[in-house]
Amino acid sequence: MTAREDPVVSVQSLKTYYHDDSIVGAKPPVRAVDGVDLDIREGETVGLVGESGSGKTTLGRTIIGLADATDGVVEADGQDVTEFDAEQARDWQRRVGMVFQDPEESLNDRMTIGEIVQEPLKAHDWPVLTVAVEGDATVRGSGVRPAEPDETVDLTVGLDGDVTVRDELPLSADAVTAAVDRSGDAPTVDVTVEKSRAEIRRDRAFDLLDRVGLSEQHFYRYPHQFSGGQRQRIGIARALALEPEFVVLDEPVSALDVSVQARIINLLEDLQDEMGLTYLFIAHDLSIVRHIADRVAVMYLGNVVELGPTESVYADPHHPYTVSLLSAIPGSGSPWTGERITLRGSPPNPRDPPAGCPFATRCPAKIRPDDYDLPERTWRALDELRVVFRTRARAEASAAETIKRLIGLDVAGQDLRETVSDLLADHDLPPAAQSTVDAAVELAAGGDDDAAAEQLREAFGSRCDREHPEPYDGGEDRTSQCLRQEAEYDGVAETIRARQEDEP
Amino acid sequence: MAGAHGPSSDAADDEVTPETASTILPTESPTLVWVGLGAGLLAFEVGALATFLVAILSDTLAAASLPGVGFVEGIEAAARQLPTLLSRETVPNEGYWNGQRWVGTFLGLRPEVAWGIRVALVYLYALAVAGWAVLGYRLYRREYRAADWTPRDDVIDRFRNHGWGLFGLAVVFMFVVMAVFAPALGPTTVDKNMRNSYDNELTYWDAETDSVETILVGEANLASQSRGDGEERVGPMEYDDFGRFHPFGTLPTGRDLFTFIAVGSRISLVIGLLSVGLSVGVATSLALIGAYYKGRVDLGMVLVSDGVMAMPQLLLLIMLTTVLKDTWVAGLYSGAFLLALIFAFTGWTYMWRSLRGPALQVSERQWIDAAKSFGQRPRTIMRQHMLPYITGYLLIYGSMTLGGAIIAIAGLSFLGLGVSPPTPEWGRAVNLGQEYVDTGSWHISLIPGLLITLVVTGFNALGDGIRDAIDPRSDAAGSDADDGAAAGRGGGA
Repeated sequence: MTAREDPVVSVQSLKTYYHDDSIVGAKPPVRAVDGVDLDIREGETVGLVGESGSGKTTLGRTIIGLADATDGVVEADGQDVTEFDAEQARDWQRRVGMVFQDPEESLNDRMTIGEIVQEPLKAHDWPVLTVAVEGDATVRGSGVRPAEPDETVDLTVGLDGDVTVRDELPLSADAVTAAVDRSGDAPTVDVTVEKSRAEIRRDRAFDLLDRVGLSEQHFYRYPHQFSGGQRQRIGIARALALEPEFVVLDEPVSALDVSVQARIINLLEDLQDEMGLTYLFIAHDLSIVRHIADRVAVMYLGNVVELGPTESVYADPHHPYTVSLLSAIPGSGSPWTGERITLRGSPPNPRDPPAGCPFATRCPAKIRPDDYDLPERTWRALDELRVVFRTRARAEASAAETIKRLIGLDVAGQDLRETVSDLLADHDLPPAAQSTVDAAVELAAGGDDDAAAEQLREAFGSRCDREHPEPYDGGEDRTSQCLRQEAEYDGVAETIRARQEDEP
Repeated sequence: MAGAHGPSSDAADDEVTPETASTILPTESPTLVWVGLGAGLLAFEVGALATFLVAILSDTLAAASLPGVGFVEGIEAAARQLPTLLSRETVPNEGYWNGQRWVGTFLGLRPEVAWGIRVALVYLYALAVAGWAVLGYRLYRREYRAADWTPRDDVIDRFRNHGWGLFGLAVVFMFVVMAVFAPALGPTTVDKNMRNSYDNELTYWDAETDSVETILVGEANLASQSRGDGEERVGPMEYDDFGRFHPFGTLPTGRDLFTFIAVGSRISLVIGLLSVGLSVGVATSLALIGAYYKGRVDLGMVLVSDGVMAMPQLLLLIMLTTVLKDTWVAGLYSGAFLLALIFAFTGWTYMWRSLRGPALQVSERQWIDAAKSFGQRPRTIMRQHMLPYITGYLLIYGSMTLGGAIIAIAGLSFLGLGVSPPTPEWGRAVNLGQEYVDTGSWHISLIPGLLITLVVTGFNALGDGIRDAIDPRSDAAGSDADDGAAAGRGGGA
């Protein structure tokens, strides 16, 4: 895919935080999208992958205007979508579409298919019926209006009375009459459309149903009379009703049977070719993304950690998270030849993301400091210990615990010491390291888990724990947010391989 | 499927060929016939209708103290001259026995037969009007509507197969007809029998003297009281000593119970529908707005409704009826309008509470997001994507509240707070007969009581039927009606 310069949508350091809607005792917000840069270029498909909770759906919703951005810019046609007022947002939403994940949920089952597909048309009073005259003339006529500059022209009228109708409009030129009146100073064109808007909308709906592989006889049926795949086709027809240029596909096939998935994917590809659409394809299935996407963006904890042309990323992933995702593709489809990489633990709480690299807590290729020479598994045990302290610091304390903490009593010190000795049981720590760990455990037992975590970070943390990596240019239109892109470090893949070989 | 697209231009041309002429009426211009039938039906009641319309106009003018009252009164008098075929004057049942035959009754028939004919005619007429409306709908459906079939047809078909709903429809129909035709249905009138009973005379056959005598209605009432057993009562379907027929018997005051109930149904209907309609309207709009915008808007509504709920309804009622006693509001319809307003004001909170949960639930569904994603306007989202899902609850709570309102008015009448006597009201009849329930005069409490039960059940059944009919999923045997609306059945208020 040749990349054009002008993006359809340009996302710049976008942040979307979800705040609790309570008046008292506000918790820190959920950082669903936490500083994303992403350009979506005309005619391409960008695949957005990541595990659930990584913020990919929120990113899509923010672009469409369904979620309010906390900070940053979503630029389209030189305007910032996040700053739009209600009317501008409506106008923007006329030009974009969204297909939702669950076709059982996204269709109102009290409405017929015809009503569902026509609803966007009615909401925007489609068709506009803009008229352009070849030459200089005034346009009159009920239900039509002269086209503004740069606007899509529905009807083109020649000064000889010839009428051309835009292809997408289900209206034959015979149903439009244009009477040219040259009596005045400037000629006047009187345009009459003999088909009502409602009829044009209905025919548009028939047309859309036909395009997504359904037929006219489905028009008066209800969603519950359809299978999942058919319902998703209806959802697609609705998203395309207003002739959008850009469509967000939010896991459009993940709720469907595998056999149906392929057909829907093919339909989406055909529609893209036919109508010149731009897609943001959100998915967690990497094989589907490889099939459909021109470029892929990998999200982790609200960040796009890697971005690049699909084939290039799949063949040579630059970010350790991408490597681990690709290693998890079952069967021969995986480009990763080593063992499957199992990530440790679970993703951090998005209310409290790590200060440095968001992936540092689980990274299989994390940079280690030079101060100590420890085996990888010992480093991981120390990382885990820090996670324990951080989790304890964020946990809701019971009233009794709070009081104990205030008067300086030992808070669950016994449990904590057991956990620590379990974690570090068969690791040999050098004396300096051991004393740091002991001091941290004492702090935590005294109730100051934050300080304990901080102390461990000071002693055993690396650049990964301190520095939020900026996107590094990886060449070939690729970026990745990993410090290992710097020349002084070993590459991600070789580090992981080397560490896997060290493991018993 | 070409037919589903509506008549194309060439289809319009062959509309008059015999095949397509009409499947309903054997004529080539069914609409004309239908309009003609309508005009014919209207002619029966043109007098009553004209009087009614002019009365509204003159009331409005009087209330707004505009000029032209005299002119309108002139029209009113003229309107009274218009014949009303289904009136008590055309088919009279009030007459007397002169020793050989009945005088003054319709065709000289016995009063009960004359009255029965009039009631039957009224109901036949109402059925004919209903049939005419159905005919019109089918005419439109087959010959004028563009589509062969629309989802609304299914709604009607589902309702037609809903026995319980049809029962409700029948009861509600009977009740509404009774309310609309109340003056024509009673064997006598409120004015003659109750309000001005000492200004009206009555001719009757005195069996002791074998002669025709006259007596004031008020005095006759004293002799036809129902206050116990045997001689002291005039039961249902009995004549009193003055040759007056009482289909439901008499009240302890000797007045006619059927007339009382027929006219009382108007009050119940007006208060019930008005108060429930108002509170449903307020509760629905607030529930939808609160559920759509959530957060502070919703919180504000919770506070307001808690505030209203905290006011004691009965005290508020007593207070407002006293404070507003001399205002024009209290004058409207013997205070019934004011009662309806107070019921609506205190009643919407409970309904809003019941609707808030379902509304919040449906506001979380993804099709709301889908509608937002193409820029649908909030008002349309609420109306099109949220309202249908709470209509089921609405109908259930609405019909239950309607019954509650009718019962509440009855209770208020007992306290002397409700509709001011002598305007008839069902609840007052129940209360009047209270002490005679275990005697031969059981009918005074029992008949209105049964009617209240029947009407309330009828409204509930109708609500049930409509709810099932509008749910497109319920036609699959109803067993899979697992969505929100079905839960309303067990919900309760």
